[in-house]
Amino acid sequence: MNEEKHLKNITSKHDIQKLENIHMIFLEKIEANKIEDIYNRVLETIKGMSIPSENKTLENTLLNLVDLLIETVSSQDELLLIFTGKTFDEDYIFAHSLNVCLISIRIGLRLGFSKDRIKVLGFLAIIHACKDMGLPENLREGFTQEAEMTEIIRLADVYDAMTHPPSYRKSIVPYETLTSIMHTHTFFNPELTKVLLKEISLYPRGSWVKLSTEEIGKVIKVNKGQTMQPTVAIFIDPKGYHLKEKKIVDLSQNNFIYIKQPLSEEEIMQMQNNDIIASSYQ
Amino acid sequence: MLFGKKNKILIVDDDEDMLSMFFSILSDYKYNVIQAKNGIECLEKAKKFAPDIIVMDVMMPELDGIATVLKLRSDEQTRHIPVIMCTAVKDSEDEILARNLGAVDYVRKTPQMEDLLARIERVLNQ
Repeated sequence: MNEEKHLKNITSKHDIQKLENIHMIFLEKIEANKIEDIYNRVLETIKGMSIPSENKTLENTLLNLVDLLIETVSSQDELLLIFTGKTFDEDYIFAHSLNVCLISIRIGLRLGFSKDRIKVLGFLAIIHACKDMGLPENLREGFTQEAEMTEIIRLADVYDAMTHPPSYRKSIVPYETLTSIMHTHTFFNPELTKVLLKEISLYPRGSWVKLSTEEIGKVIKVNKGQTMQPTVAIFIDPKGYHLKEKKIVDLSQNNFIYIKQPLSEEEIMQMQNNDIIASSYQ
Repeated sequence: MLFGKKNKILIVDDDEDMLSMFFSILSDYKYNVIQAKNGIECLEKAKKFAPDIIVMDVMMPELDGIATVLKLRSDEQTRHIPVIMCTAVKDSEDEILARNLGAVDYVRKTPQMEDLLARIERVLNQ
């Protein structure tokens, strides 16, 4: 029985993979790969950093990376919205640290931090779990961590760890994570939470959503200034059948269709297991 | 602790052996022990019994320990309850995260309970 269930799970994962592949084709057409290139390059650099080096060398390399990230984040609104994809476990801590850094920079920029302060914030954020990255803990000694920076990094850490967890934990969709964070009232600084809410889409790229039409799809583009109305690629029709033809809906251009609810990947898999979504194409 | 009034402790672990070990040792000690075997049950029992402290495993199916702490924090009835996280594997990012979520302590599971008992006492006396 267990084995049977196990096999069924594999099939579902395979189906999800099929959907992901289609999704990637859409993505390539819609987005330039430049942002992902930068993200991946930075990720590769920090992964290679655990090799013993002088502290000063590590510090300079990290500060240069943070500079590059600040520049990219300042000019690219989409950067924050790309890293919802899966990460291999061996890369997890690096991807997570990079995400915490990006979110922190974004919040710092929105709060009007000076360039120097953002740089320190970004640096402290990227090394917030330096021990797990194989980096020496005394790297942070040369920098003063202001209380506000600590708060920003704490919020960014929790947000990313919930929405983009290692494989042994289930992910919580951004909508639910942000709602929980907001409901903690003063446990997280409400001003910072508001900034995070403005900076992060509740439905980032890659998230599954159910529309008011009962169709199910994946967000393929977050529209600037209209983060609640992203562009969605529809995969499943209201009856639960996979669509043969691709269908893209830009919710910012369509006032009659809206997002009814966000769905997690686990929920999509469960729907497939329970035959709410057909496992084959109509 | 008031005379004759035992502190209520909620133990959350998906491993039943662990749960019964915790139960027998802590009950023998001087606590009223309530058990929950996952995060969802923890949230229900935290509301129902208003424990003085929660000792919770990090890795659990359904709702894991980390997500449960956030849920506890976001509920008016449970946000003040101190939480000690227990883990089989000590991972410093998980510890940072647990503390960022307001967990008061993060300990490694060992068969020796003295350390955990001391930590529980320290939190309850604060």
